[in-house]
Amino acid sequence: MRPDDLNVYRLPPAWRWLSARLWSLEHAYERATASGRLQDDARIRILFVLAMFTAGFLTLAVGATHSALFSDAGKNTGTLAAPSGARADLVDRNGQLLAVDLPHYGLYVDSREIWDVSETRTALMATIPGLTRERLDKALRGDRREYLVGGLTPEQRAVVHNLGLPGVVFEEESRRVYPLGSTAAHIIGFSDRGGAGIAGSELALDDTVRKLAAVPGQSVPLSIDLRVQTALEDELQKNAVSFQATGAVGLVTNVRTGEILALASYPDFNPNRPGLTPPNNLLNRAAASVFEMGSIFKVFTVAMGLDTGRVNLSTTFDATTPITAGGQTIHDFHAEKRVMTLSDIFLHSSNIGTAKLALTIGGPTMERYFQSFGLFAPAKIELAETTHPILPHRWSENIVASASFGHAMSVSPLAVASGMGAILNGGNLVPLTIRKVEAGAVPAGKRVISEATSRSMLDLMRLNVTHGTGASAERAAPGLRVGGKTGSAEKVVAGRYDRSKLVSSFAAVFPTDGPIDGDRYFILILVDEPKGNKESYGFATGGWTAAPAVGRVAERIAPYLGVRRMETATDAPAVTPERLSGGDR
Amino acid sequence: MTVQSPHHTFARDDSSKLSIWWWTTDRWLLGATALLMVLGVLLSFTSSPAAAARMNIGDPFHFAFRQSVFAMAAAVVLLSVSMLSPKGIRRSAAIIYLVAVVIMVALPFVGHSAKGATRWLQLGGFSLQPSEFMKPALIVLVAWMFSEGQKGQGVPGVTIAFVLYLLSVGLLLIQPDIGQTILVTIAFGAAFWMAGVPMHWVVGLGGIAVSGLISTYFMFDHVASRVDRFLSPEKADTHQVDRASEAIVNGGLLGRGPGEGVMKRHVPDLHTDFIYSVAAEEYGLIFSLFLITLFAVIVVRGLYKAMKLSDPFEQVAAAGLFVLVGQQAFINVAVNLNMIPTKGMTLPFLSYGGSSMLAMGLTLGMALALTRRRPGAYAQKDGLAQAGTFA
Repeated sequence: MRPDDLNVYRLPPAWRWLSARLWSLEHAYERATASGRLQDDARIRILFVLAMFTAGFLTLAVGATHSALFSDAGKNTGTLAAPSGARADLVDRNGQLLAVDLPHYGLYVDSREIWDVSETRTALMATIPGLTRERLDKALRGDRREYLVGGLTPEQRAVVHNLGLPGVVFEEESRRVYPLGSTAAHIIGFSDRGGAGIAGSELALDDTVRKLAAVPGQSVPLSIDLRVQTALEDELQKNAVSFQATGAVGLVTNVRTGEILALASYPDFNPNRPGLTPPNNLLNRAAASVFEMGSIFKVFTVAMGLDTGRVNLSTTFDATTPITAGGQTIHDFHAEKRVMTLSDIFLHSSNIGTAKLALTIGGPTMERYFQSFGLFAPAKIELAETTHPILPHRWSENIVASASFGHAMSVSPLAVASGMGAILNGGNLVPLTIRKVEAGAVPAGKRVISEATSRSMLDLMRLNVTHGTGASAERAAPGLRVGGKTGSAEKVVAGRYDRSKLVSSFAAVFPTDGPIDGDRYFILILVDEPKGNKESYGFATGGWTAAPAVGRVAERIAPYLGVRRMETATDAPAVTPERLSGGDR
Repeated sequence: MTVQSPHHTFARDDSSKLSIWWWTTDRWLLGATALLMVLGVLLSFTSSPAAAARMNIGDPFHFAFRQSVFAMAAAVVLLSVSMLSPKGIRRSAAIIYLVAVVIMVALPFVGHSAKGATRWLQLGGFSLQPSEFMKPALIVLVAWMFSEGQKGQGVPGVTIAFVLYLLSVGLLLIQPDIGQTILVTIAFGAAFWMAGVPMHWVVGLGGIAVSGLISTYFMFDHVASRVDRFLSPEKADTHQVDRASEAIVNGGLLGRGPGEGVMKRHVPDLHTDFIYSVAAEEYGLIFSLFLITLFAVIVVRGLYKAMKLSDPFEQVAAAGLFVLVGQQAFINVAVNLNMIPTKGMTLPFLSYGGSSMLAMGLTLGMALALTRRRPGAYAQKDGLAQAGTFA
């Protein structure tokens, strides 16, 4: 080491270390040169670099060959998968199409591929209706592919495609289409753009519908029969318009299987454009609305009375004077003011008599029966819309008396259909269903009343149509053995019953004869706030508004349901206002 | 010594400067380079209309025309530089390096920004990228310094080489230009290694280089996103590379045919970084393999020649220059084939770009000059260049 190198030792240690390293590096070369093998050493090292590059270019050649001949870039792999959000078709019980996925196109804009932004903007604004400038500008400014609009029909897609704009691309997306428009809208429901069920069967059967979408040709059959559905809707609509009702509900079920054959709610909507529908129209009044049902509840009360064995149809109750229970006076609307048998009470729809029956049986028994009829819970059905009843807190005498003829508690029409189905099918409470039940299947039910009681109730309801308040139903559907019970409940307005606002209904079953476990059909029509017209002699009660409509529905649907018309001995008596004194209460 | 007759320009007994050049320059290298330059011009005619339309330039052959001019200029640069002596190469490298460094220092104040970086100096209708010219100059200078250091005559060559390298890298990172930094680093490392650095230094410097790359990943967002994108393609936007892959598949063995490519309408960098894919789509695998072979010929033949040289400076400088060309070609093609992360890098002689083209002319010109047969340039056993033959 030369003396001047000693200066290094005056420096800080870090510098000293660095200098030492540099010195050793510089002199490493010197050592190599001294040994005389530098050039050869460099040759070997260059040869190594050469070998590396040879390997590198060979890799590139292999890579290029692979990319060009064996790569699957940009190719479709395998079979075409169902687009996300795909849903299986919905069909009615006979295979008629209710809801279907049709290919539509989503339009995407990729700003990186666009050559002329202003040309693209002008052309798209001119060809796509409803496209806002803000939205388009946002997509054009983006740095990746952006979704612009969806639901383009093949024709719309062709128009945009033919503009030949670079960076404007399409992707197939499925869009739910309801080919029947508003028909069966409430039971079919609808799904959103992303393919998620939002309402009705689309929501209730969402899992099935999505799962079956992957299976080509598979559809989901609903329980409804489109022929029954359209007849019911037609009658309901005409009826609601004719009586200027604010709303109306129609239901047809098979009491043996619990299948909903038709469900209609007025006003309706077009499921293809649910967003443009007022919420009132979207409401499924059969499932999601509750009503004080009025006298049709007497079916439950009388069935309970008969089933306890403590009364029979000949048992008499004194209906001469209004009764007072729990501080409330109960009147009869068209008072007979006499001692009446139980069947007379039903046929004349005596509130006093029914209340006396309920008080005789007692609150706890009535609670138990009503519970078993399913009136204290949402109707059992797949529909998410099915709603809770409004129940009294305490079953006082007053409440027992009121509930016996359908006041003091509110239930949904579906709950009525479910409970009455049990009374009319031989005594088994069968859950309602919107799925088609295969022919011959016997749904599991829970016995709630005896078969004998069920038979008695069928006869009693038939008698009510031939000789009681439901006569107009018989006139509309002669020979179809329709039985039924009318109901007209005053609505509570601002805490008081308002005599001018009724919920008028008719709950019917046909045919009332035949084997007790045979197919039998329950029809319910409920009209919300009907206004009497000339046809109904100004009356707005169930016997004048709902019952004729039910008769017409039975008349129209009987052929499809295989119910034969029979010549009956009993000719329905002429219905006059004098005879019925404005229907019943 | 003027040429007597045009028919005998390169006659063996003709000792004009041009004639000497012709007889001493490696034909393989010259031929492959000339072929690449011609192909670059031809390809520019396929890419230019698409690129011009995308940039709203009226003349569809705007880029093709400019590319032809650049190619001719590059050819002139290549020829004149390749006629220089090793001493001349060292001198011009020093001048070019100095000028490039001065411009790069001034860039933040006078430079032209594009795509988030300040790399260009606007000169009339051309934008000059000084870093392109700095690369070959730096490699020649460090090779020179290494050889001076090896002589043990008191020149601290290695230290000076590192200072030159660090200065270049520092200026590149200011722009920032990570791609050039990586290229310069690899070429510098290769030159350092070929110059005979002890193996334990290789390990240490390799560690620094790796940690440098990792810190680059964390310090520069666009580098991180490109690496992430490569490692997990499903998450990221791999638009250009995806289109490139599709184009290469569509090209297949024989290609769609000249002008029939569609990928060039979808990718912004079609005429620069993705010219390989455009070529592969239109002319197919056979042509792409031919391109790869041309680059391989230049690099392998060049390194072979460098290996045979006898002067340590000439060995390392020539080999370093061929590494510079080879790695750039390799990285560009590998990106196009989606084998490595996307890195904006031009394909020598084929990509559009004046600076890149002229700098490649300079690089190969220097490399050709250093590998020319001269008295004593090659070891005796090579047997090709006997001393005194071309004195």
